[in-house]
Amino acid sequence: MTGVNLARFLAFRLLRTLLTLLGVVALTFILGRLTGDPVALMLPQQATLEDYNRMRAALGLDQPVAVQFVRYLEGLTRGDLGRSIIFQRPAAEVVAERIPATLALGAPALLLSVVLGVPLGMWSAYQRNRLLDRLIAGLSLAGQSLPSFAIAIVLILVFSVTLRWTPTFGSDTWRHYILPTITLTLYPLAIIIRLTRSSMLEVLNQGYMRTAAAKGLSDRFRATNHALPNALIPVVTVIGLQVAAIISGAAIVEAVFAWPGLGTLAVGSIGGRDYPVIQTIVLISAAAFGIANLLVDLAYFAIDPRIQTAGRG
Amino acid sequence: MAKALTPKPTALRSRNGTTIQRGIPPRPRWLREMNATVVLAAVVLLLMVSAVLLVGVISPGDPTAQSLRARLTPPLINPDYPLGTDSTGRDLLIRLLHGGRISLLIGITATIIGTIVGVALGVISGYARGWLDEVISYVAEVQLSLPFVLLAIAVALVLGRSLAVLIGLAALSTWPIYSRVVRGEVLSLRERDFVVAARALGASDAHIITRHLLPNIAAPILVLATINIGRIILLESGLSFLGIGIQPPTPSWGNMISDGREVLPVAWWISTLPALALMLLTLAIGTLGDWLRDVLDVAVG
Repeated sequence: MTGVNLARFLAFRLLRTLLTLLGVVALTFILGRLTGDPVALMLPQQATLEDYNRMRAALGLDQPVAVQFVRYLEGLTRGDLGRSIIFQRPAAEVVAERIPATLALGAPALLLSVVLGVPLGMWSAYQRNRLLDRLIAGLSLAGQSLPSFAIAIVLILVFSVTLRWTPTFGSDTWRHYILPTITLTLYPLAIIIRLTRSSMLEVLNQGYMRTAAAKGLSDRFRATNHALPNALIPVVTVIGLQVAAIISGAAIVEAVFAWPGLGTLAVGSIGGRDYPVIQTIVLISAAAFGIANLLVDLAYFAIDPRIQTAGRG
Repeated sequence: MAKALTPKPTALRSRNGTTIQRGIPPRPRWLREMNATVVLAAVVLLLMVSAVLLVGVISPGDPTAQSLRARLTPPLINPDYPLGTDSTGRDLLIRLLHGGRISLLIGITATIIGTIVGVALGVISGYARGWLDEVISYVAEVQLSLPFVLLAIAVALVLGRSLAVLIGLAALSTWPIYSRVVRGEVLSLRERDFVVAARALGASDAHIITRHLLPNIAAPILVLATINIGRIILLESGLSFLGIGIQPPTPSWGNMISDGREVLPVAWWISTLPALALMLLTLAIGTLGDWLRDVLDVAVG
């Protein structure tokens, strides 16, 4: 693949990602405004209609939705994400404060699921139908089938309530990170193990694996230089999708552990109809998802330079 | 672990899954892929489904009836409440059965609706191609980029929190999964010789779609549908857990788990039993989905 083709492909993908983000922004904007009126929720009972109208005008909510949307887009091009209605501060600031807490759970979860998932999946494939494979397969099916909040409840019951090793909720010490991280890791880990295993089994049956064995290449060399790169392609795709799963999963895990991250902020903001904050959170999540998928496309090049990009989209 | 004394014959598996074993009469594929886990999963699923169906027929009691004297009864102690009671003295067994009924109802109806919509849009996408394909793929991409839990909260605020909204949301979360898979299958099928031949013979689009394309994508759809029922049961319980799904006092496993959190240190069973029921049901469905995928030899899910 030449540099020109790669550049053109990247430009095309970037454009597509931006278009998707525009769709996400528009959808969030409209859906957010359908959920109700933040001013009516904020004003005290004895407020007059005049107060109400003054406040609406101050927030720019008296304008038609189309005008509001154009203004919002104008702001976006300047990097202005609007002001939080509840906190009376820039929405970007409110959201940025919560990002580290969610990142502190999400990043280790993604990292752990890849670092543990790929070797376990490979190992499982090599041990096909032996006890170890069955054990890993069973556990990963369980990890994929069990709801994160139910796992969280059981973990809290065992480690916090019964054994008293970890705190039940909050985020003050490193001990607070253990249970939420485990909870958030299990689902993507299970998915990656299962996919690596099935992908690996497919590859091990291929003719070039037999050729490599006939050439006398060592088991280790065949595994890491022949089997793994070919088996990784579908796995890499699914890693991109796990970013979305982790973002969605964080909303529930944060609710269980009262974690002060984006998830709890989002749930609270939707309740208070804090449109600018909701829009910012959704935009950031969608952008993270888009970037993850772009990285996935780039990873294809690293794994297999032959991959034709023209047909993909 | 004792190793089997006789080594298993190394069976050659071709791509379409036919196994070549000399001297042994071939067994049907669904039987060959069957093992103890699959049987166990089928039995568990059958028991759970018949139990929740039966509760609608014989109605052993009111799932919302409170008994303050019997509050926080542990399981297996009082024969009147075999699985114990919650913090307002409601019978957990009856609530579990009713909750399971709602979960299955939502899982199955939403899967049917989502499958029909997703398959239809996927066939249109792959068969018509062009701008229709672009529009459908774009909408699917936008929806997949939105964190679904946030979308669900917003929709629940606009349309209210009812069973119909919940089923609609679950169906909404389903269609892009199908449309993507179906689109890919149709794109490759439409260039195959038998479809080209049918078109050359003058077959209409409707005929090609219903007689040639749909029968060929039935297997992956069936596997996806099985897995999807489990996925929706998880989604529903998650939304109910967050308070935007099934509303109390109507029991759902999700809101029952949420109910029991406050009293977890003194009454472990209130949250744990519905969590176990949920795990058992989704595991059974997942195991059967895996088995079905191996039997039909499709690479989805």
